[in-house]
Amino acid sequence: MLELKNLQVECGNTRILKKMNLKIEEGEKVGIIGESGTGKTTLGLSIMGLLEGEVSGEVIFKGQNLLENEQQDWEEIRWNEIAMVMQNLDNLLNPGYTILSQVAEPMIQHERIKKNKAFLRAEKLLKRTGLSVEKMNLYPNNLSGGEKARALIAMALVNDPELIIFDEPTASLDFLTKEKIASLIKEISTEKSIMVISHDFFLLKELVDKIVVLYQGKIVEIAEPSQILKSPAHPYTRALIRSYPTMQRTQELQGLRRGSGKRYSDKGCPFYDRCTQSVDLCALRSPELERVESSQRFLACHREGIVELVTLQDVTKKYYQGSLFNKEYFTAVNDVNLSIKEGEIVSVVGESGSGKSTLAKMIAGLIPKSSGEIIFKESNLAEWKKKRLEFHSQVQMIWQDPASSFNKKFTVFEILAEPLQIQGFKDKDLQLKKTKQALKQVYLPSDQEFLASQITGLSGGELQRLAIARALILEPKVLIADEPTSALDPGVQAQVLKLLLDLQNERGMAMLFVTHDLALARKVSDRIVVLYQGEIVEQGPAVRVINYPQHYYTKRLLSVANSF
Amino acid sequence: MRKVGLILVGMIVVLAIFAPLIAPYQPSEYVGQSFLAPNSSQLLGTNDLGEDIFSRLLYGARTSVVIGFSTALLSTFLSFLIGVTSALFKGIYDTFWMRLIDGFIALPTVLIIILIAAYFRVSLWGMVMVLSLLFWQYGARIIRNQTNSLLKSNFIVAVQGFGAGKLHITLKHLLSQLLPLLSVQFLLIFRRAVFLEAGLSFLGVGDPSLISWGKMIRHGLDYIYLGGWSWWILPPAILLTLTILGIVLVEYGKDSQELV
Repeated sequence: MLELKNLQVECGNTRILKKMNLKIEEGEKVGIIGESGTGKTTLGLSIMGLLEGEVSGEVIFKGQNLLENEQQDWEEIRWNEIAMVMQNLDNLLNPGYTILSQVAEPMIQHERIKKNKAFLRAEKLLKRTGLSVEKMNLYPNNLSGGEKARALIAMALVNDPELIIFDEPTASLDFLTKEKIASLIKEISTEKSIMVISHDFFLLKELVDKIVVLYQGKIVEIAEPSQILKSPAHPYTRALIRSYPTMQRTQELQGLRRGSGKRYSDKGCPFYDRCTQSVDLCALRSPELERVESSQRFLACHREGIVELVTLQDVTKKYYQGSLFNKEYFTAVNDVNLSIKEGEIVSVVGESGSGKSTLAKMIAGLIPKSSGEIIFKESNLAEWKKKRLEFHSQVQMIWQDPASSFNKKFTVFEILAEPLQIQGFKDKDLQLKKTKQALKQVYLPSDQEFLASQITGLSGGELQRLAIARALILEPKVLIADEPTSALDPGVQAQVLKLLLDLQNERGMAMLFVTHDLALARKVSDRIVVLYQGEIVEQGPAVRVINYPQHYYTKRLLSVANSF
Repeated sequence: MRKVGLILVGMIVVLAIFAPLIAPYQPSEYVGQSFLAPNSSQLLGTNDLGEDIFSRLLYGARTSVVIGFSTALLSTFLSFLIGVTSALFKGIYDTFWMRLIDGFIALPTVLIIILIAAYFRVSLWGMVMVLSLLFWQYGARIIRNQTNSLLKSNFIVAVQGFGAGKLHITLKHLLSQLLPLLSVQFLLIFRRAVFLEAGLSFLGVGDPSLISWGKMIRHGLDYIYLGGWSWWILPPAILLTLTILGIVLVEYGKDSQELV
């Protein structure tokens, strides 16, 4: 019914929408999502022909390119065929007229019907949106936000349009009102095509069957709501979901990583400087929106979405004991399949002896596997052996007991500089600079005195922060944290955890968080993997595992966690 | 205690180093009558060949110190090299050395040394080589086991996590961690080498031209009926005892210091 072809909007020198292609079929419900300033409203306005920028491309509505229309042709279509419920409630209603007369007015203007008939129809429409008769005769100032929203929806419905664009219909409304408005829109959408512009994933999930993710005027992903929420493909989509609070959500909120602040060039991918997995190509060429194979999903990303950094296939670890002729073994990790995506936090939860640490060490390349395949960045660990230094600069580990992970004869500087020396950074000034930077990042002093001090005088919290600084000094892509806070008291634990999560978000590292503490895992992770006697008994999104545990063992862990 | 040991060893070492300056005569120089009792120009008298015993005593210290020190250094180095590499490389390499050590330990070391020294009349450096080759095995095994347990400790595994190679781990971490063990090993072999050298010389095996305390005692013993033992046999015996006592005290002092 509506098709956008290479729609482009420019205001002065800034391009607000970029080569946008989108199709809305009859009766289809489409949601547009993105941060503020990404051009969502601009998109709505440009379809309505209400935009004063330079609009190029095509907006084809029922076979006709609206952009070629003259002003009076627009009048025909606007409000009659396509209507829009605007976002800003207060400016749109004239404070000098009652609600009823404001709804009736466009009918009188557009359809030129009689006044009393128009009022009757307006009353019917307002009733339909749930506004009582007394309220209709009030002035806008006397109405609540929800009631104003209803009035605006009624105004959009006046001329029975085929497509209604809702721009943030529930923004700044309370939850109960929001729910009522949502069900109203839902009811309307049964007979009309709708386009809902919102920043609220969960509203869209209720209302639409297709979500379009917009970033800086460019569509980065299109998919069904459930699909998007379960497994967002574009890093931006995931970041959006992560920053959105819900009741179900267990993880701490995380803001979107800030970009470098530079205005990106139009050539590259708009998400380039905030993306943690960008490659050179991303800066040079903007990715096209393409269909993901064998799915209903569309994606614009050179890396084909969020990259899988670590993959474990049937990984098993056996420890042999006994003599040469009478070999016995016990299986520490059995047939584990697991993946960690770029920027993702995966928690491995289990009691002691469940094989968590063994698993962590195998992924870090510190102990060999017995069978199966561990793949990092498309090469398995055997292939990485030839590029040992490069591998270890990208995969790092933090240990349960920080004190034991340091050579006690070393000073703070020697500890931090050692990874650099191993990796071949010979320049002493550079070592000093990086060391100081790393210390600042974890809020430790970075003066000469501290650098030259022995580590034996540091507290547990300081030692763990030093350990984090050391692990991050090489800027790894994957950080494996093996019970990083279990040796710390709760206050310090909270500090260290917060620091770790902030750094994770800032660097976009993938993190494998090994813990016995389900409550902790719940706070930090995107996904939770439950390990029992070396086998994965359950894995899934944190929300799912915590709220609807499937396996008996997970339920037991949860009930134990709840009783403390 | 340790200080006393250090002073004793230090004294002997000083005597050894400055022997040419302190000694009034060349050790193999004919300085007067044979069998002279101690007097103002020959402090400890002369031996059967009319050589100054005091000068020979000083030069004897050289032999003891050089053999003791060099043997200790060489065999400790061998222990370190073989022990650490066995632990690092594991597998057949490790098995090879460990079985070889088993074999060496089963050998009657002293007997073999006597045989070799007697048969080949080995020189000073030859003696160092032979002693080292027969002394390294105990240390190598201890160091290999210690390295194995160090390699399992978190801080070394952590460093491997940064991509550290075997050389880096050895030089930066193992060496400093193994140092106490190495120094104990060094002192132990120093002491045994000094003692064994004296013993071999006493038995008269080895290079006959070497001036050594053991040989002096043996020589003095031949003329004991002349009653010169108190200035001929006793001084080298006392110096030998003091040297070994000194090393023992350093060892002992080291242990007790670590226990505190």
